Amino acid sequence: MNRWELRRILEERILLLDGAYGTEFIKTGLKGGIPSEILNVEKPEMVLDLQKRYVMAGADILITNTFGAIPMKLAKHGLEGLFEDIVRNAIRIARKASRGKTLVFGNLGPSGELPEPMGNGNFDIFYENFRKVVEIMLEEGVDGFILETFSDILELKAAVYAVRDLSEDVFVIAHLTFDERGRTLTGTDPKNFALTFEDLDVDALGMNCTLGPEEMLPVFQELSKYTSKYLSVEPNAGMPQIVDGKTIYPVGPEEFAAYVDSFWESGVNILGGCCGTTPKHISLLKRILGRRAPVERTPKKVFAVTSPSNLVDFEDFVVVGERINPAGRKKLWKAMLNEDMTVVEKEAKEQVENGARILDVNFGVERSISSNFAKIVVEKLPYTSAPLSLDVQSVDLIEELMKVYPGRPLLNSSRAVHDEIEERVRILKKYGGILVILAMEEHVPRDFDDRKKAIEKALRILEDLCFDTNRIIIDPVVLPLGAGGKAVDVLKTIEYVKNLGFKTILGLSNISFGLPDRSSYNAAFLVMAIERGLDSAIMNPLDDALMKIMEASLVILGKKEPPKKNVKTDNEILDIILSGKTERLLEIVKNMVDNGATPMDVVEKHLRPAMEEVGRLYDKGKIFLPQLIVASQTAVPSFEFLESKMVGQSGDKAFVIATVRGDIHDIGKNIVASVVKSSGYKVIDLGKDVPNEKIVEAVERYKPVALGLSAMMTTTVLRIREIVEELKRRNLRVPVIVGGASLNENLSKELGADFYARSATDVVRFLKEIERREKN
Amino acid sequence: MPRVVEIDPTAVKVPERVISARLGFKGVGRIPEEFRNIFEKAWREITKVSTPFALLEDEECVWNEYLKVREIELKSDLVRKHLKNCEIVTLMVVTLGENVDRKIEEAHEDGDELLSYFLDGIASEFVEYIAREIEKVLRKDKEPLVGGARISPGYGDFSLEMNKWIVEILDGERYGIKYHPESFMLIPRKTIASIMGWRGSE
Repeated sequence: MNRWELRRILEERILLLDGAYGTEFIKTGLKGGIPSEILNVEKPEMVLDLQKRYVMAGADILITNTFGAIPMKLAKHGLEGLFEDIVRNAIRIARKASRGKTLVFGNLGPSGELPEPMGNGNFDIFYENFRKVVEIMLEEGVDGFILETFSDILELKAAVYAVRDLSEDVFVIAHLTFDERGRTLTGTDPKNFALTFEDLDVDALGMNCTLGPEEMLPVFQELSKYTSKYLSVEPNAGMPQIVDGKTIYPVGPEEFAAYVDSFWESGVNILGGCCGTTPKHISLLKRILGRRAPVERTPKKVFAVTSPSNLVDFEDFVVVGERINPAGRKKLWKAMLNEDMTVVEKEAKEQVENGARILDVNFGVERSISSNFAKIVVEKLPYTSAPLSLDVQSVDLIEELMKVYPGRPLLNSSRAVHDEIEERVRILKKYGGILVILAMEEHVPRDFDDRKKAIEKALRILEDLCFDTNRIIIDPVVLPLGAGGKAVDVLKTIEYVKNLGFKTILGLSNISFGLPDRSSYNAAFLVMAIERGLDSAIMNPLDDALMKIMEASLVILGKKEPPKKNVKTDNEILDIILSGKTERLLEIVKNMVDNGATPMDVVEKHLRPAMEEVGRLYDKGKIFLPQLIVASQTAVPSFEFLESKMVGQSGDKAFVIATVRGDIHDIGKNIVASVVKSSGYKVIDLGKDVPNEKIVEAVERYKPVALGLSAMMTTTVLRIREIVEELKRRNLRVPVIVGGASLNENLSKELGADFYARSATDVVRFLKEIERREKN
Repeated sequence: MPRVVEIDPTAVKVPERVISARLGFKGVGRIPEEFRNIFEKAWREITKVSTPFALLEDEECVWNEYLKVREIELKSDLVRKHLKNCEIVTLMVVTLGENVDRKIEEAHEDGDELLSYFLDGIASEFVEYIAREIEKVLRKDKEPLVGGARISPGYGDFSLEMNKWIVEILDGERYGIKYHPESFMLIPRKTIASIMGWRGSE
């Protein structure tokens, strides 16, 4: 069945996928650690039997047993020689089990390698591996593809292109797997996924694995808000638990099926089960779903570009950093020629730290730079900085870069020239992204009329090419004043474009080219352009005066909230804390007290909010653990100073922490102690390998807000239960927060703990929650 | 008597990418510039104070349902899978020595949690990379025998309690290697105990 026929069916009813393979095979004798794909050649009857049971259960689509069948993954088990047999047999077995009653979808899973710099994979490796599988699957006549359990957007894109390069008629479902925070391993959230894949030629988007139906539902709902593609979902049968050394999935068929209505209401079109689900789960889903039609959705329109962990929405004014451009910058030019990534990364980091939300990347005279280096920059940089604007002229290079870009980029740019737009539109239709349209034809525009004419022409060309004009942004073309450029014409063009309903972008620094005191001209022109409705500018974020004037003009024009009175101070404190300037912070804190602020005020209004912001930055992945430790170490002396000034006022905020008896790991516990201390609590750190008795006595003595227990190993986690029971026995009511490598949410509850902390910032959050509850 | 192999700590190489990931710089691939000094300081300290060595001993083994070494049956599916068909096993302990623990502790006591954290993270990778080097050498020495995966107590269903067994066979205490009597964690902390199986190349 081709994708168009299947799409017609999906307008009518929801289709049912099958359930888990791996966990079912383990039940019938497959040993852990052995790839289940080997069964396709060694024990095909096992696969056939399971798939028959899924057909009996009512699945509409059988997925082939090929999740780990790409050559590089099979090679890890020495099975690459069997690759072709494994893949071919998988499809033949599924067809045999189906006997024409179901569709058969080829299953592709991730390679197990993350792209550089997190791992050793890259686009080309991924693509080649997927393509080999897809070729065989198409030869064997699959009805569609499901690309499942991907945790990185670039790898998923590679899999999509591998399919689409070989067939435009086959249905494709693309899934990411999200954690409880709604992020993939490389930081993509569902909104980002929806926008990035909206442009690509896939039929359905969705998610599977990692989460049970309860945890997956809100993540799925977020995805459904932003995509117009069909929606697919396969939750696990709950979050896995280890019981007696075995992995158990706790959500049975009835509980699993209870979520059908919620997924249906959220717009699901294709539903199935992942790890831990069984033919019984699928059978019950079938009974509930029947031939139910899908609900209609109207996805939200968002104009944004993305990188794996960032989405930049043009609702707010966007600064596009201009500095990754070797024109007139010898050092950068040399670094690019020498393929020195560190200099490019440094430029990127500085710009992002100073307010750039997108980075324009220009390789100068492109023939001088190796296309391989350009690819490395475009493939790797978005993982560590911001989305990119690819300021590239050669069509071949554009195609190479767009292919490996991990997200949805800006493509900068095209003149209103038919062939130029056509070439770029072809690439954008395949790889996604937003096109910058220059308000000029072959020649530089002389006035507003030339620009208007060019824009009208570009829009006609785009319409002829059936390209979605929601994916363009218009550049009114700024020419240097010194060369006779007229700023007034540019301003008029911005107004004109805004009236047409399009977004605008311009290259700001062009205005002052060749003039003295360029910053003033840039700033003055930017203010005027913002006033006319400009949405973004390619500019220098390291020009402090320019950035400040821009901020002020956005506030004056009502495009941004005015800063709160104390924001400057708090930001200053935050910066000092993050940069580890302990003495400077202490000096500021002492000055505040000397000038009449009460120590409690300094804590509550300055230090604590700053540390809360540090915690938020860490939770969002904006800073790393070592930076959290630096921040904590920086804040502690100031807290201690303030504490010494308010004797008797803070004694009720104690926190007792210990690593339990038998456990000699204490690094995690020490970090928690340090972070909690820097949030204004008095921390009683009892150390490591602490007897139960000593812990209980400390609770009795200090009456803390909470007790923190760290237990790293399976042999020591049981101490937690003993301590909780002893506290109860002595009638000591204290919330217990636990953490450590062998623990998880469920096990913590079983052991009697009140909170399970994954990180030090979790502990601070729980302490605040406990305090809030007590107040109420 | 186990074979004792001393290792020159200055010859140990650990990719910066690995340490950077261990220290929590996710997705960065190297130590950020602002942490370069403390990283280098911690690296210097670890190479200075660690006294790495390995204890190794080969043992005959017998297969019934499970692998049996010195009359002890290793009731673990993981061991059974990874040591399948092996003829001999090598028991191994690799340690950085107790000075490293002391250094990490000192930094903590001085209130320098960041240094303590860096020392701990670097040391964890350091000992792991030494174990990998030893493993590499063993694989070469044992040719034409083929080695399976090196597995340690605490992996999967291979009980942590087996740390005690390995340390006792290797007479670890004599070389300063102990285990915690309740949790079976190894002391010094930067110590790895493991087992590898060897089978004929056919």
